[in-house]
Amino acid sequence: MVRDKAIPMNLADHVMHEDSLPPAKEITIRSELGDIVAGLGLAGIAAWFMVEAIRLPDYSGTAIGAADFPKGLAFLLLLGALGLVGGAVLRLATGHAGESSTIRRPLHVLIGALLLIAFPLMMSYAGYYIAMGIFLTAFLYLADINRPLLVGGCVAGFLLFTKIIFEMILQTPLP
Amino acid sequence: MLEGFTAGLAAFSSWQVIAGLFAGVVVGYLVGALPGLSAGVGMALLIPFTFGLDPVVSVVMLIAVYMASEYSGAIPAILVNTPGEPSAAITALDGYPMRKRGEAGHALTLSILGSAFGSVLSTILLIFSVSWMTKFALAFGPAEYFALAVLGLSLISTLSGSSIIRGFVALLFGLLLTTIGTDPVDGLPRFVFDDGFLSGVPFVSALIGLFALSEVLRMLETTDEPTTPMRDIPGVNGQLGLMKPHMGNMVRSTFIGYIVGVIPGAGATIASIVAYTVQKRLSKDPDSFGSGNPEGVVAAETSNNACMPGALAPMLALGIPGKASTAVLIGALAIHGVAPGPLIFTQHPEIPYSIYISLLVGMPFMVLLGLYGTRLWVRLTQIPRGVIAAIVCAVCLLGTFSESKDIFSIWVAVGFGIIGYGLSKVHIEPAPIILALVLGYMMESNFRRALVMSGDEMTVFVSHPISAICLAISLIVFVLPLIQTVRRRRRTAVKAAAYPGKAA
Repeated sequence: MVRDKAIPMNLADHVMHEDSLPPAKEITIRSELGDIVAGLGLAGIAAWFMVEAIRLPDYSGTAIGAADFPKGLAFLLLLGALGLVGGAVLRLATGHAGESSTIRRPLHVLIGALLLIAFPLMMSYAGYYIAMGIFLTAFLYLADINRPLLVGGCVAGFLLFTKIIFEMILQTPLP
Repeated sequence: MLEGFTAGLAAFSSWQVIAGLFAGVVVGYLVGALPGLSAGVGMALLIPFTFGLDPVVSVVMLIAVYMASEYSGAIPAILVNTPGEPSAAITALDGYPMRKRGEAGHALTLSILGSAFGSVLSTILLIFSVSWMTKFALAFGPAEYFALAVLGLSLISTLSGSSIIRGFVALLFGLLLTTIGTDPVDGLPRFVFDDGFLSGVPFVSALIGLFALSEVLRMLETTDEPTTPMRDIPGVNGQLGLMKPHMGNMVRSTFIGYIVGVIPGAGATIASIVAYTVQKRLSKDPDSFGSGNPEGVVAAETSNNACMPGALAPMLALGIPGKASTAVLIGALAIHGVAPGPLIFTQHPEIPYSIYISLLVGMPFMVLLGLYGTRLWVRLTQIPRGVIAAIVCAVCLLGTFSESKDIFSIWVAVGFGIIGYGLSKVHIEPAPIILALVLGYMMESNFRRALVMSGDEMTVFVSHPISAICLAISLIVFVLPLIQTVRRRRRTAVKAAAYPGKAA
């Protein structure tokens, strides 16, 4: 499923760049597979909500209590999610392929997501400025900004902006 | 109305309000001109800056961002065929061919003048129709509000994305998330697996995550692509005379934009498509649409900017967000303790009237920037994508923290960012989730209140005329696209059977 592919750039300048850029990896997801994964995931969430809602006590004394609304919504979501899965299975069976989607540079996206997850952890232990400095530097390199001066300028500029606007003017207490 | 305008004008005598208006217009231009950043994202990013400000300054600034970004999306659409806002995609159909013909200045001038005309006329329509809508809204009880929320949600589910079932699923997922937290009637904690969720899913964090952080992850896919080089940067001549042949088109497109804007769930893109289609049908030269007809640019830009004041009408009168941007605006007002709806005109009259005045006063400034600032905006679209992605991401994380002063909110935003990215890859749009987060609480609390007040009588929703009409319209709106889809499929199947070779 992962394959190397030369990606055409903006139509206006692809002639200029098509030979100079390295090929980008991409993952193509068939819409049927996407629908099945999303449908099963959402069905799982709906089932969890339904089980938790059943455990809720009812103090209201009315026809519709605190648990009934989420139970109804979870049931409808379960139906919708299973409908999504059923539609995908039907398309697979009949050979009617839907619109596929592509994730270009999946490793970059994965590292980006991991950096996002790491940021609040870093902020808890090292404080805002160190965490943001490390995060922004790493993110800029990940986003193909390789010139040290530009990276340093962006990081220093953003931290200075935070200090002046958020800490000094808006009085936001940053850890 | 006069007292309200006096209160609004009094608020405008403050230098902070004027500074907020100008700052909002400049930020809105930047946000709209940068592809990938929508008005809603720009407004969400600006919310943390408004915490310490007066509510009037905050709302004026956000409205200015909204107004300017709705226009400036046309700049990259015309110059580089890259719509800065989704609605500007229709502008690009004729704007970009005009630019290729060397008529970029003409196209940009028409787009800014059409936008200004649409926005001003639509604001006047808003001023006169909103008071009527408010009187109507004051007759609303819990049953009517529940039905209204259902109507809003039914429109959203059918108008989001390419698939009804995906929109429906996204909507239900969003609604289910609104049940997390303390129950609105009994005060019972529900699904609270972390204390941070006691007062529900943090709206601003969810909003920033679903819209902006998911967009940042999408941007990472294309940061290796070069920015499109500009071969010529056109000069702009502000020729007011250019408007003259398009007056009928502009008036028509304004009304279309306003009406589409008032309908919750419809948006600027739909307004542009409708106005463009109508103009094409009425034009003496319909065949040239799509290859650089100025009428197309005028229709699209006038209607998408007229849509903006229209979307404010249900927000102000009923407290219902017509689109994601107004949902953000409701969130910003809620932070300042202001709840949009009929009572806003009596409890906080300075807010709606400041909105009207900022729409009218901000427009000349926006036109001047549009006519003379083209070169600057063109240069901003040339910033490397990687720098934009990193800075947007950092602003999102900082903004999320500053809203709650709690690292938990960053976790929520990151979680929603990753979920939003994943859902976008399976063609599930984030907009229904956000709008469900706004309308879900209103729907459940009013549903249960109506039942409590009626002694558990379910017929309360159909015995009240307004509620019954809203529910009937919801049903029609929800079922109609399904019928159309089935009919389209049958027609395709019949054609495929008649011409088997062509069907393939």
